[in-house]
Amino acid sequence: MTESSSLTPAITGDQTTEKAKKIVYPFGRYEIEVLVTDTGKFIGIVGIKVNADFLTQAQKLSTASFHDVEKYYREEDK
Amino acid sequence: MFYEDPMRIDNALRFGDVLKGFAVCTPVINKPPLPDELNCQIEIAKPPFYVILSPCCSIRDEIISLAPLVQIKNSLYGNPYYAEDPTRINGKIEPIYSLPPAAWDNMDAVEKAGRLSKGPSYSLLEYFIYKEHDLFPQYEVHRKDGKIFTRHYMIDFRAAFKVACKSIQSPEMSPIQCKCLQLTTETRSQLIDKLLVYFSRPSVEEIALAV
Repeated sequence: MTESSSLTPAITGDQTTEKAKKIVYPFGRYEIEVLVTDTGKFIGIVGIKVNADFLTQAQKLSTASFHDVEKYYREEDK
Repeated sequence: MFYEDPMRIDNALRFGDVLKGFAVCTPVINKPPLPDELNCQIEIAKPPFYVILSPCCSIRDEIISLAPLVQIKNSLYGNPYYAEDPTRINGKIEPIYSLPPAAWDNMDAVEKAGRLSKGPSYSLLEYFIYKEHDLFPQYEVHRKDGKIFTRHYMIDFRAAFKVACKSIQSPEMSPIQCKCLQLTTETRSQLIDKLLVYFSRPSVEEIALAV
C-alpha cells in the first residue's frame, strides 16, 4: 500500500522538491508505515499500527464461501 | 469481451489460451495399488480444443498443463439463469440463482437462510465456461423441454493433464500455430480467481473445526 505526498525538507536549507510516498509493511501483528522518496530512499518511520486482520486460519476457513449446489446438477443418465 | 481481438493476440502461449492439435491420455487404474508389473489401461482421446492451465511463466521446459474443452453438462441448462448465459457460472452469483428454481422453491426456510447468508459466491467450482465462438462446433443439448443448440464449451479443472512437448521452451518459443484463441486480460483474471477458489476451498471437516 502506498500513499504519495510532497516531501517536507527535513533539514534547514534542504530545498529538495522530490516527492515522498508512504509504504505500509506488514510485520507480524503490526503494520509499519515507512516514508520513502520516489527513488526508494528511506526517510523515516511515520507510524505503527496493529494489523486489523485478526482472523485466525480457522476463522478464515469458516468464512470461505461458495454455493454447495453440485447435487442439483447431477446428470440424469448417471 | 471474452476473447482477445485476433489482431491483438500475442505471439506467445498464455494461461487460458485455446489450443488445437493435442491429445488426452488417461491411465485407468481401477484397483490400486498396481502390482509390480505394469498392467493398466490407457484411454486416448483427441478432443479438438484444449485450454492452457499452466501459468504463463511455467510454460517452458518441454511441459505444459492442459484441460480439454468439453460440451457443457446438460443438467446445467436446468437452471434458466445459467441457460440464458452459461458464462455466469464463471463468476460469483446470488444464492437464489445458483440452483434450479424448483430446488429453491422446495427448500426449507432454514437451509434457504443459510444459503442467503453467504451472499454472492462461486458455484460449480470445477467448471469454467468458454463463451460460444464460431470456431467451436455447434452441438445439441437435450432437455425435457426441447433441444438447445450451443457453441459454449467448458473445462473441468479435474481433467487437467500434463503434455511433454519438446517444442515448448518458453511462452514465446512454443508451437504458436496451435494457438486458436486468447482470453482477454479480464477473462483470464476471472479464470485465475475461480481456479484459486477451486484449490483453496476448505474441506467439510476443516469448516466444521473452524466453527
